Amino acid sequence: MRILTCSILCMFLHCVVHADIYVIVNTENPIKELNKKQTIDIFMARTQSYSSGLRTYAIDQPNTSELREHFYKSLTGKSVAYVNSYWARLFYTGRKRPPADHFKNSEDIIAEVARNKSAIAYVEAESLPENAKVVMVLPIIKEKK
Amino acid sequence: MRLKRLILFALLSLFSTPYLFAQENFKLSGFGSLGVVTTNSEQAGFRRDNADKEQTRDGEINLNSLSLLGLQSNYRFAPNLEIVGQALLRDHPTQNIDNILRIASINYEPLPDWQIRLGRVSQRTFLLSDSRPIGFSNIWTMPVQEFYSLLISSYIEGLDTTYSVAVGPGYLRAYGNFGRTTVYLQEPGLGTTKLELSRATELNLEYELTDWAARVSWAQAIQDNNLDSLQILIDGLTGFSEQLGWQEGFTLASALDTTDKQIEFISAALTYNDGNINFKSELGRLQSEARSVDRVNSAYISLGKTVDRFTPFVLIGYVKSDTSGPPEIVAPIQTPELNQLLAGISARLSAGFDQKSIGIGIRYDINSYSSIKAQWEHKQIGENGYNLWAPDSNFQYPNRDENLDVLSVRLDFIF
Repeated sequence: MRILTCSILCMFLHCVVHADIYVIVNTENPIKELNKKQTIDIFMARTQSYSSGLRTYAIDQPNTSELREHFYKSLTGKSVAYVNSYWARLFYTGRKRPPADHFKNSEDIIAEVARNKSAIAYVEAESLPENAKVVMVLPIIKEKK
Repeated sequence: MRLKRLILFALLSLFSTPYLFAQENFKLSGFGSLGVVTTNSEQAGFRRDNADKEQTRDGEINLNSLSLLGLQSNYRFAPNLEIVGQALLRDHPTQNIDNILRIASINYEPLPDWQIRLGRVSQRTFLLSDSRPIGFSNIWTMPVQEFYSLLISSYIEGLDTTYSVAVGPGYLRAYGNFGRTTVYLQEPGLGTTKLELSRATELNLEYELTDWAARVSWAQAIQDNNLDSLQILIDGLTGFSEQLGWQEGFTLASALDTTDKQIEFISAALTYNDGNINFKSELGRLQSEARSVDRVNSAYISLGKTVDRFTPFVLIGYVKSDTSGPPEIVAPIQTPELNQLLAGISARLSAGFDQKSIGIGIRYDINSYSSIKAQWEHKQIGENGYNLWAPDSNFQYPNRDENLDVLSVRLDFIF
């Protein structure tokens, strides 16, 4: 229903919905689902803990990844340049560290989420394993050229 | 040579991505800027702030003022324990470890909502005071001169804590630190002055709601010594006072002396940034117990709108002293030396801040890691309001109001 609504909206906004991005957490994480604001708060480091009190460990796709661009566009409505600029202000002042971005691909990210109870990440539909704990689904929105 | 290296870094950054090196626990990364600034001012020299080594005058193109390179390393021992080090290479008044080392801290988070930093940390007196050198994080070519030039220090050595808590739909952050700092300033004709500030204390409260943030801040420090230029005047005045038994001279010397006196900043900020509209505004007040430090009010408003990769913006800046003019000083005797000294003191106390600016500019995001900006500012400066600028080689400011322009272009990148 959410995707249908989004698709209809996007027709008027000159963009098209192609696929989904899945926000996943460790299966032992008690959290059942996250809304957009909660996910933004975690990935933009406004909060460092889940509602259960468990410390968050956000994981990004590699910097060069197109999925990263789609994720932030869909989640925040903002460009990666904006997100990088936001993090430059927090990271290069020594205050906060951005989501981990040293994992090479979705496979490595999924393995880390399975290993680390605090981890939260996002992957594309093709990489999503059957046993993954999905807490949010975001549409990939591509602007029409 | 340093500039050539910086240009090389800048070019490399256009084709690279953050970070230089990243592993699970270790990250090496950086930021940089390559900038030029010019002005049509013939007498007063434009300076980014008091730490600007070279002033810019009419016909000059300054490549050093806005160019810099920052290198940062982070090592994480545990999810809640990290060490951070940052070196900032730029045209400092003096090249030493005090100037170059901007951050050297241990960051510890005993609980997810608490952060304690111990060591040398960047200062958060104003909204952007800790991110001033990080050009990529701002839309302007440089922080608003009328506001940010007043803050001379850039780090605190001591203890720094932040507490964050969800309040309503947003987050409330309380931040405080305590420590000391050293500042190196460029004094025209005298070279570098080292200023020590102790018992530096900052407290601020910030509420962040999606794209909005509001912040109030208070900071104070005790000055441990005088600027060299001021010390020369105080020594001269004290010498004459002892020689002549001149009580009024002692009183004035004591009022001028900034040693062991408090300097205080109060500020409030409001920002909005939804990725489309970028609004920032700050109000500030600087005051000191010393007669030789002006009480100053300052403010700015900046508004930008992002269209695709372009962000055109406008900004308005304001700074004005509300200190009354110099006191009437009657010399007990008339000698050329004493008259010259008193004229110097009078000139120093007359010189204040009285400047307004309006500017327009544009930021273009070359890619997700680099941007280029151009900015033109028109500044109106009152006859006794040139303190943000450097005097000429005869230590004189223009004895009239002036309308001046400052043009700057800057390439910023992270890597």
